[in-house]
Amino acid sequence: MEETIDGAPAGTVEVGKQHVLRVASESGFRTPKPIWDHPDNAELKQARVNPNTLAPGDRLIVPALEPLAVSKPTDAMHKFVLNVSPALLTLKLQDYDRQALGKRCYRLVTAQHDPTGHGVVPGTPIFGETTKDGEVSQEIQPFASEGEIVIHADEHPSSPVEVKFRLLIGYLHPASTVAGQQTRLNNLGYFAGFSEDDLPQLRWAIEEFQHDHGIKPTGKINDPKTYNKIAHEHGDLLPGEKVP
Amino acid sequence: MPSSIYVPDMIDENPNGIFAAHPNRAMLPVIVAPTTDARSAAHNTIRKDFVVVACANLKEYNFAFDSSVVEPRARDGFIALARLLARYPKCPMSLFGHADPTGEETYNKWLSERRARAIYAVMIRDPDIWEQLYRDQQGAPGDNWGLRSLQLMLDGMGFMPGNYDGKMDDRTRDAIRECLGLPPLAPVGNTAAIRKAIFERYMDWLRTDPVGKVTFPGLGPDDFLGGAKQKATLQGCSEFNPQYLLGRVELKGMEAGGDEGKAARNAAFEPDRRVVIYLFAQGTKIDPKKWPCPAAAQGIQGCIDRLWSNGNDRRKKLFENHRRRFGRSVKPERRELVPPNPLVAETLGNEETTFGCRFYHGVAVHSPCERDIKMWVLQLLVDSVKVVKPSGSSKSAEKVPLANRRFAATIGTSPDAPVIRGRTTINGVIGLPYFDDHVAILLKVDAYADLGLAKPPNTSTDSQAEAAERDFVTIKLDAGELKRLRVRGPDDVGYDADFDLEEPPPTEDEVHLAALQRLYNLGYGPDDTGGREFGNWDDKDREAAFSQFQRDHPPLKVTGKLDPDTRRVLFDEYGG
Repeated sequence: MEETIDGAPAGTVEVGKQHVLRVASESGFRTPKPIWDHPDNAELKQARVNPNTLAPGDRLIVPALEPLAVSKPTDAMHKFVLNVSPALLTLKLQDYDRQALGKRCYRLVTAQHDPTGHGVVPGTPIFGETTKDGEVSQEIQPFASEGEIVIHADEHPSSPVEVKFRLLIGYLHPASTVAGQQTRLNNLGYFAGFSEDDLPQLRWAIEEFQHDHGIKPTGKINDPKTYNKIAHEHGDLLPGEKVP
Repeated sequence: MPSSIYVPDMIDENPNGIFAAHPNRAMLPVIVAPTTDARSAAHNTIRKDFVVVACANLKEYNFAFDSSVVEPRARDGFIALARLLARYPKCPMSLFGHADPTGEETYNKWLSERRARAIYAVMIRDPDIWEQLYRDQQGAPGDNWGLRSLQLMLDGMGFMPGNYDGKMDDRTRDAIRECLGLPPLAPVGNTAAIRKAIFERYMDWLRTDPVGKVTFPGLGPDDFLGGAKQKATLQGCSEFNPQYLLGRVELKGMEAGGDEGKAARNAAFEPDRRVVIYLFAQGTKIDPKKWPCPAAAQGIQGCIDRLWSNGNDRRKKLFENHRRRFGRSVKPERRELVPPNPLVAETLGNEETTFGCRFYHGVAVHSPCERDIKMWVLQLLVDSVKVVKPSGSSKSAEKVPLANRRFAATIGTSPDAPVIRGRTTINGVIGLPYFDDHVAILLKVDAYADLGLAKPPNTSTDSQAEAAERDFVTIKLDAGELKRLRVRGPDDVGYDADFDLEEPPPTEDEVHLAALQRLYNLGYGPDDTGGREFGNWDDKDREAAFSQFQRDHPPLKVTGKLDPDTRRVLFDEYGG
């Protein structure tokens, strides 16, 4: 059975630009684990390692949702609470010299696509303070697809805005793809081009990255040693993980 | 985070160099992955950008030959530089000196660094730096300032030392006395104190323009990226980053051609000998210890370590019969290498392949000071009120530019398309970076009042200032559908016979289409509504558009066709 994601309790989902967490939420699962650990997804799991960085065209098998049987008397009101595991948005901010940005006040707004029409629905702004390691870690809606973070010059909200980033959430491709390498390098401050066709700029970024991280500069695109290093520096792969 | 391409909205080009601003910045979104409790250590690293906002390319014209002595004619260059700096206060700077490919790398590293240092000294008005250059030639023994340099400066300021013979004669002594306001017969000689006084006066002279009333801003070492220690503040790039390379056969011929040939070679390499100053965004701070560029005293190994993996091919390899130039591609059939090497030829034939240093390449790749920038240039005009002259003759509506309006342009249609924000210039001009031959641009302009439309209520919940953009007037553009207007002629800025003569002239069909597109953009032709957009015009629509334009522009004859007069007036009005 193959169905699109809308209203499919079970089946195959072709991933556009999204992640298992969103698929799980849309299919009624509380956590992405039953989907990602399902034997039918073993091959994809091995190829992608991180369930949150899938490529367009990846096919994900969504197992049937087991109905939960609950026995309760019918003459009373019962309250059911559904615990859905939240998504986390974690950013580590660095200055040009690759040093942590330190304690800063920030303002984060995320938004999700309006299910009834076009455009996006912005959520409530969240104000926070980065850790001394320049880290922002914030719970967000699993459906959040874009956002904006405004970073102030110090920990006071009254300080001037130092930098602003427009965010696209859940669009990070696997490091083994050209787009995946390009995006991570862009985030890491190695400008890798505006489009996938701009290979000279991508080679520049790869060579500069290799130089800064102890790899002999070759400029080679899709080199496993280099793209794994890129993903680890970016932080989407955990220590010990490796993308084939 | 993603870096940026800049579009110059102001380029001043004169014999002293290129002085350019880059205000409109293309920003990509930061694409991130969310995570879950199970992988809570996963994150997304975002690094702050290194942002260049303006540049100045001080050409060799500002220096004496094979020397770091700043010529009197550099004064116009410093005035142009002062104008640029006035637009970018508190933007930290860094200077990169460059030499041409002739000569030895270590020598050229010294010479290029000393030239950058000589300019830096004028910018911060520090005669002691010049004294060091005067006293010690360091690794560039040819760069010997001598008394000759003082005579050059005295002459430039109008004190007539006679000639530049490096001899302390009566006329030179008189010129020094006159310059320093000393009584006749006061003892003067080539001493450190005298030199310092002359350097100070000459620097002040270089930094002021009594006619234009421009004064160079008061700068100190802290206005530069690396401060007073000069690392990251200035560097010499030796011959590692040529802007221009000759064809191999041509170069061989020059080198075999005796003094005349060598002179021709030196003239051809002129674009390579330059000092380029970059201005970075306000607040840019870097750690000079991590800056890759070594001082000349540390040798060239630091430069070699930073070369591209194919850096020596990039900066040295010559095509047999075609020049190479940064920012220009060479056509496939002209990429001839001996012995043949198709892979290398293809790489080197691309646009941005003459800089050997990868670090400098990253700083300079989109700089209008190092290349011709391709860009889409739009001018926004609206009809003004109809003018009725006393004589009774009514003049058709004047087009007036939409000056100083905020705009946001999205290049392309994908969600991760870059966005460029800025303001239109005084002439209503917007410059957008060239991305592809065909690209859809969504342009939003704050222009409701100009078009006589009521501004819609602000429905946005976003408290950021940019929220108002949602309510800007939206214009959809198909960039790339414009055709060439005419062949570039030798008078055009940036004309290069080696590259431009191969451009074929536009065909009649191309000219006709270009004319119609301009009419459409100027507001002629049928109403857009009802599917009668430009692409759906029929012969009648085209004739009507030409006729209306001709009626609006007497004494043009109303022929309904693109006759030579109409063509001239239309293209003149639209602008090159």
